[in-house]
Formats: sequence, C-alpha cells, structure tokens
Amino acid sequence: MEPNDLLPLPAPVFHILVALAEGERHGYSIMRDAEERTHGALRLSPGTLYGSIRRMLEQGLIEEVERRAPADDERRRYYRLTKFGRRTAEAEASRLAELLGKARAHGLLTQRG
Amino acid sequence: MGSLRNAVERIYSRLLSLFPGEFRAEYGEEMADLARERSRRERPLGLLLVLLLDALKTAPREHLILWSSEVRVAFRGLRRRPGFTMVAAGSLAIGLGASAAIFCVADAILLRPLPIDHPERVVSLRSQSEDSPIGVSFQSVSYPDYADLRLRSRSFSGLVAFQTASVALAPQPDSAARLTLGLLVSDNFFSTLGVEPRLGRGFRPDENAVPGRDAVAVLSDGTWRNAFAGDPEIVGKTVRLNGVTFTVVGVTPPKFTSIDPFVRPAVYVPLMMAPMVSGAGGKRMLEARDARSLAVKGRLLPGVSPRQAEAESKAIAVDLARSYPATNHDQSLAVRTELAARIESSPGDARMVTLLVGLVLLVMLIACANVASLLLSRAGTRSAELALRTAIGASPMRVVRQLLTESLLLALLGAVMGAAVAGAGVRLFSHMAPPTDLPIEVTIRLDSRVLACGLVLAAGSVLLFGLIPALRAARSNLVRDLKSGDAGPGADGRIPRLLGRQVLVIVQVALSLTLLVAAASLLGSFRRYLSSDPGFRRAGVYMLSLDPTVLQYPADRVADFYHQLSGRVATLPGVESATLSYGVPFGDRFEFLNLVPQGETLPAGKKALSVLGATVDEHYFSTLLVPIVSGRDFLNQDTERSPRVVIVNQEFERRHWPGGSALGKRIRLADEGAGVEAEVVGVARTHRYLWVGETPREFVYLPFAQSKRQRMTLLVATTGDPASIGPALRSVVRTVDPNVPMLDASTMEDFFAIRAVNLSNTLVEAVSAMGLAGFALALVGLFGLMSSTVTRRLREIGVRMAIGATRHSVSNMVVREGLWLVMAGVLLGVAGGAGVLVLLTGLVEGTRLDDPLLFLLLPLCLVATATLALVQPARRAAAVDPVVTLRQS
Repeated sequence: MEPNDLLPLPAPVFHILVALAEGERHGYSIMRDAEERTHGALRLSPGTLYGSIRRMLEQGLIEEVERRAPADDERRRYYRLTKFGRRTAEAEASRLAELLGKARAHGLLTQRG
Repeated sequence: MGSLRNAVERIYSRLLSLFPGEFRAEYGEEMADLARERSRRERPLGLLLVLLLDALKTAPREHLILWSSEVRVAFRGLRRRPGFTMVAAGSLAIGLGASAAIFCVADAILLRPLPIDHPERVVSLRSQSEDSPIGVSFQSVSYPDYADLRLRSRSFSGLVAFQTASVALAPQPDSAARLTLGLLVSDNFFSTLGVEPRLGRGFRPDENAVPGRDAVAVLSDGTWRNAFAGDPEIVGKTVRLNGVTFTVVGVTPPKFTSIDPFVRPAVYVPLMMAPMVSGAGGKRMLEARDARSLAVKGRLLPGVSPRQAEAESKAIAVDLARSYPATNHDQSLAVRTELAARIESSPGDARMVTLLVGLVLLVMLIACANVASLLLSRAGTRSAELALRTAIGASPMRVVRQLLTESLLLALLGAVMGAAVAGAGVRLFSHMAPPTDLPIEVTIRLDSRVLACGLVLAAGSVLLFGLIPALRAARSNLVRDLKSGDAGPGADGRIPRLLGRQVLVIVQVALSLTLLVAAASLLGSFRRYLSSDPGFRRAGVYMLSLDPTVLQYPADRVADFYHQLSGRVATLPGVESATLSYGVPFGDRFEFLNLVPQGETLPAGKKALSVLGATVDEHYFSTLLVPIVSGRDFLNQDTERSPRVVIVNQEFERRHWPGGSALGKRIRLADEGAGVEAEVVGVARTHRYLWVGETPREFVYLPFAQSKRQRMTLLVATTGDPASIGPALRSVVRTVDPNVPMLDASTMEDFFAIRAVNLSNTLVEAVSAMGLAGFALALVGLFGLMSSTVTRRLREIGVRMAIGATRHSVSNMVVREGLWLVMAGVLLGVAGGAGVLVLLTGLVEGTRLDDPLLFLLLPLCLVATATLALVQPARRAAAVDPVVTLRQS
C-alpha cells in the first residue's frame, strides 16, 4: 500500500499521527496533545480514539511499543509511528499545505498575526 | 460533585459493553481511564452526553468492521473447499427445498390466510346440530337465523353471509353466456372484510332490503379484465346474469381473489337477488329458517375473543330455539377460527397435510444432521488451524463467531439453492389441480412468506448444528491439536459420537430405500394399470357437460330437454350410441348414496351405508361398454311412475349377498325419504371408478328417469375421431335450447389422461422425489462420516502402512467399512420396503411382493452408488504418507 492510497486522512487519524510525530505516547497523552494543539477545540472521545488506533495498527501506520516507562501505569500502552505512518503523515501534511496554498491564492486565507 | 463524577464513570463502564468483546478486552480499561481523566476536568453532564454519543457512533462501526472481516475469511474458507461447500449446501438445499415445496402445498390447501384486511380477526359461524347420527355435525346458517344473529350479536363489528351460485354470465345482452360461479353476498360483505373496490363501490344496505329489487353487481378483477377488457368506464354499464340485467357498481381489487381458498367467483351480487339468480331455491333460501345454506363470517370487535363470541352466539341460538322450535329445537351455533373451520370441513386434507409436514420435517432433520456431521468432520481437520488462531491471540469467542459466520454463509447458499429445488417441487405439485372450466383453482405458489420461512429455518438449523463443532473447537486442547494437526482417535468420548453417526447413516439408507421401494412398486402398478383396461371404453368417446340449473326451469322442462337432446344426438351421423350420466368415471362428480341392502345388519348407530354411485340414463352401459353380467340394463319402461329399480356392480353383489344373486333383492334408498325401496334388476361388471390403482369398490347406478338431476354429462360413442363430433353436438344443444350452458367438453381419452395419468404420475413423482432426496442425503452422510473417519485415523493408517500394508489394502479397508454401513441400511430398508408393500396391497390393486426388481436390482443400484461416495475418502486414505503422518505425532 502507498501512503497516497489512504488520503485524505480522517481528522482524528491525522491528529494522532501528528501527536506521535514527536515520539511515543499513550492514548491519554495523544488526546491531551490534540486538545492543546487545537486550543481545546478537538477532544478525542474514547471510542473515536481507540477505534482509530485499532484501525491504524491494522493499516500499519503505528505500532505498539513493547518497552514502557517504568514509572508509568502498567496498563498504559505506548504507540509510535512506523515508517509508513510517517510517510503517510508527510503526504497528508503536504496535501493540506497545497490546499492551503490554493486557498490563499484565491484570497480565502489572510496571514494571521 | 464527586459522586456525580463517579456516576459518570460507572455509566461509562456500562456503555463500554456496547463495543465488541474483543475490542473491549483490548482497549476497555484505557477507554475507562480516558473517561475518568476527562471527568476530572469537564462538567459531568456535558461529558456524559459526549461519551454517550461517541459510544453510539463508534461501537456499531467496530462491530461492522469485525463482522465484515469475518465474512471475508468465511467466504475464503468456503471457496477453498468447493467439495465440502457444495455437498453441505446441496444437502441443505434438498432439505429446505422439500420443506418449502410441501409447505406451499399445505399453504394452498389449508394454511393461507384470506386475502382480506386483518384476516386473524375474522371467524366463521356455523349451525351445529346435536342429534345427528355421527355425533355433532356442522353446517351452514339459514338467512333468517343470520338476520337475527346480525341484529342481536354484540361481539362483531360486522357479520357477513354469502353463498356460491352458478351463473351464466354475458357481458353484452346479445353475447354468448359463459357458465361460471358467482357469490351472493350480504350488503356489508366488502366493508366488513375490508375490501376496497378498485373501481366504483361495494353494496349499500338499502340494496339488500327488498328481495329481487336491486339488480346491482360487483365484478371480480379477473372478469373485469377478461370479459370487459378492463374497461375503465365499466361502472354504470350492465351485465347479464342468468338472463337478468344487472348494473355494475364496482370492481374488486386484484389482491382480493376470493373468500374461499379454492373458488374464485366471477361476480358478486346482493343476497336479496337470490330469487332472480337461483329461482325458487333462492326464494326459499331467503325465507325458510331450515334452509341452511349460507356461509357466515364475522369480524370480532377489538378485545373480544372467539370464545366470548361463541358464548354469546350460543345464547342467541338458545333464544331462537325457544322462539322457533319447529326448525331450531336442536340447533346451536359454533364459532371457529378460519384454520379450525377449514380443518373441520375437510379433515382428510388436514390429515394429509400433517403427514406431509411430518415427513418433510424428517427430511429436514436428516439434512441438518448431515450438515452437522460434515461440519464436525471438518472441525476435526481444522482444529490445527483453529488452535493456531487461538495461539496468535484470537479469543475463543472470536473462533466460535468465525465458525458460526461460516455456517451462516453456508445456510445462505443452501437457501438460495433450496429455492430452486422448491420451485421444481411447486411445479410438480401444481399439476394436481382439477381440470374444469369453472373458476376453481388450487394456487400452489412460492411466495415471500415461504422463502422468508425457509431462510429462517436454514439459518436456525445451521446455527444450531454449527454451534456444536464451534463450541468443541473453542474448548479444544491447544497443545495437542497444534502438535498432531488432528484430534486423536478415541480421545474424550468421540467413539460414541461416531457410533451415533454410523447409526444415522444406516437409518438414512434404510429409510430412503424404503421410500424408493414404495415408489418403484407404485410406479410398476400404475404402469400396469395405465396399459391395462380400466374396465370401460375410452376410445372414441366424447363428453360434454350441461347445466340448466341457472335457467330455473321446472323439473319436467329439464327432463324434456334431456329427452329431446339424447334422441337427436343418437341420430347424428357417426354416433354409435349416446347417453347421459351425472358423473363420469375418474371425474369428481360422483354421488354418495345412503342405502340399506335387504338383509343387511347395520353397525350400531348407523342408519344407512354410504356407497359410491351415479345417476345414468339408458344406453350408459352400452356406450361405455360396461357389460351387464346378469339381469338387464335400464330401459325406457323404467319411468317416474314405474317401480323403482337399481343396478349394482359385482363387488356390491359379492359383499352383500355372498354366494347368491343380487337380482330381485331390494335396497332401501334412504336419501329419497322414508320407505322408498328399489329392486335390483341388473348386475354390472366392476371397473375402476376413481383412480387406476383402486381395489374393487361397490357401486350403485340409479336410472335418470327416476332420479332427476339438473347438471348432466352427455357421453357420446363415435365411429370416427371423437373430437370432430364436438361442433355438431354443440349445435344440437343450441337447437334444442339455445340458453343451456355447456362446459367441460373433452374426449374421454384426454380426460382420462389428465385425471388418471397425471394424478398418478404426480403421486409417484412425489414419492420417488422424496426417496431420491433421502438417498442423496444418505450419500452425503456416508461421505461425511467416512471422510472424518479417515481423518481421525490418519495415524493408524500411517502405522499400518509403515508395517507393510499396501495402498490398495488401506483403501479397501475404508471401502469395506463404508459398505458395511450401507449393507446394514439396505437390509433394514428391504425389510421396511416389504412392510410398506404389505400395507399397500390393501390399497393398491396388484401390488406384488415377489418383484425381483424391487428387492434385488434397486438395493444393488443403491450399493453401487454408495460405493462412489466412498471413492474420495478411500483415495485419501491410500495417499497417506506414513513418514509425514508418523512424524507429526
């Protein structure tokens, strides 16, 4: 499968990919990251979050990390991007950027301070 | 605030159960954690709403994803084993198809609800008289009783009454009338039954107020389309019924075929028009309290049970008996649901339906057992695959669901193929309808109700039988199964289960052979009959039925018509001889005569014997070439005023006056009033009367001159081609009386072919089809059993080969073991077949018990075919590689 086959990505999937771009995270931390990045506009609900995670695992976008931070709750699972996941995130990001560029060219987007 | 937060957490842990078990096991705790974290920061009620919506949105999606992947896997699994799939689905298809076909027959005869609004709320009312010799008897209701009942009853939203009547229908005043059936109905007929006319209206109450005043009619959809070419302006035009002009006020909708399962009336007219349509009989019907000829149905008011309605009706009947003792002293009323009424009025049909349904359930059960057996044997070969899946993390529940999904797909496939089998079955049975020009039909059809039932049955049975192997797989021993790639022989009680399947195969073979022996024997008997002489002339005979009933002629005018007619027909060129008869051999218009032969002691409680008979005119015996073996024929000296005479057949003579002669003996005719006796003047040779395979039956002939009938059949023996006489006959009838309707014209040979040959063939085909279906199922069972036996014994076979057994001897061993089962089944089947034949000797003349074809050739064919089912398992056994097999263990 090629990254382009999955585009456009559903919003929750893209947010999870972005959250994991910096490194390994567990589910709750992914949710917090997305929430902070969108200034509270996007709160991933449990079903949406884990439903997306399950599908992304199947598609090979992310993988579970065996090693866990020793201090952390035993139950929490950590995920990280696969190479395929990173490429897919990049492809989606450039697709969005291109879209934004077009929108700006048509005067739909003004530079914000 | 804290307790509210706890409540949110508790509710969410409940909500999690909406997700599939696997998903929950994997992520449930973390999801609950996530909800808990959020509940610390968010308002509880808002959060609860968000969580609820989220669960409602995502849980079904997870289920769907899981399920569709299961379906994909199941589909791949079935495609990978086409042999297994076809055999299992084929087995189901036979079972389901046979069930559906039989259900269609049961439906047509007994079960189909009336095509009206809420048929379950409509019940039948009948007169019930308590002093009849055979106990309680049910009959129709008289018009005065109906009128009183309608006035007084508080249980029904409407009570309708109706009665069939022969009508000659002419679309235009000058066009030729066609004889058909109409229905005389009460004014509330259409409104109470919830039938909305497609054009115009139903009847108004004032149209059923005065006898003979309102000549209005509602046409059936079929009549409107065929006789009036679907004229959209039909309302207000006229139609002639029995010579009376009626104004058309409406047309019934296509959905409403009839209020009777079989009769399809062409036209509906108000009951009050009975005197115009049916003459004196119709007038009497409206007036006499003991003229009980109306069918009455009522729509129950909401909340009223049939039992309550019956209690009220009985109370009204008691009142009526008090007011009208002369006609009603022994009369009561009974309320019956439609199904109960149908069973009561034709118990024979109900018994036949029960028998057929029982048989077919047996076939279905065997089919299911087969599929279960196949699935089990497959579960054996698949336990390694399943164990592997469990090992890589599939939950036992997932494995069970996977197997069940496969079973469901199999059921779907079986159901689709079964629909084709059912279609063929329905075509077979639809040949059974009686041939007639009258609008009477038995509509055997495959409708969506039957198909839906079949699908549910298929899914149900496969789920049930798929569950056993699935559950076994779920609790299978992981380590052992992985290691051996197969369930070990003899472990954990599998021997008894194998024994059960062996017994199943033996029973299947035995039952199917029994059915095949019966079918073959019937086939042989019928062949012999059809080629042998039924005892009367068929070649060169033409028949034409006449029915002046609708003309309401006085009796002597009818007699005069027939007298003139037979006189003129006899002089037509090419006519050897002509006669009249009420019924014809193999027809459906025989009379049952109640009579008491001289010197006969009747069983206690019986007032007369009921014997099959026919009213025939002079020359009947010479026209049909039925010899009079002693005494004389009916002659023109036998008239209304001369002493009453009868002719009996040899069988009647043999049974009632054994060793003596019937001539001169007297027979009391119980139907004709007290003390009417007739003298036996002749004895005719016994022939076959109703069907080709009957054992000799008693028969009595009455002379037409002394026993008037309205509707008679003209039988004409010709020297040339009988069909060519048809036009001449019709023109003679028209010369004598242009108004008399003619129907059911045919040559005797065609009629015989339809009645005798088709009916018998249908019976034989049905029995053979069941036998063949049973045998096909037995083969499937045998194949499944032997395949799984080979699978289970792979190691044993490997050991045998390692110590020197040849491939040949191994495959022989498998065939031998399979054949033992077949032989055991065949022996039982031969015994069962002999038993059935002994039963048949009493019912079917000429059944032979010493037919080598039945007891040698048929079993041999069976054994040979069964061997074919063993080829594949034997090959598999021979292909066992001892090295591979032994290494695995």
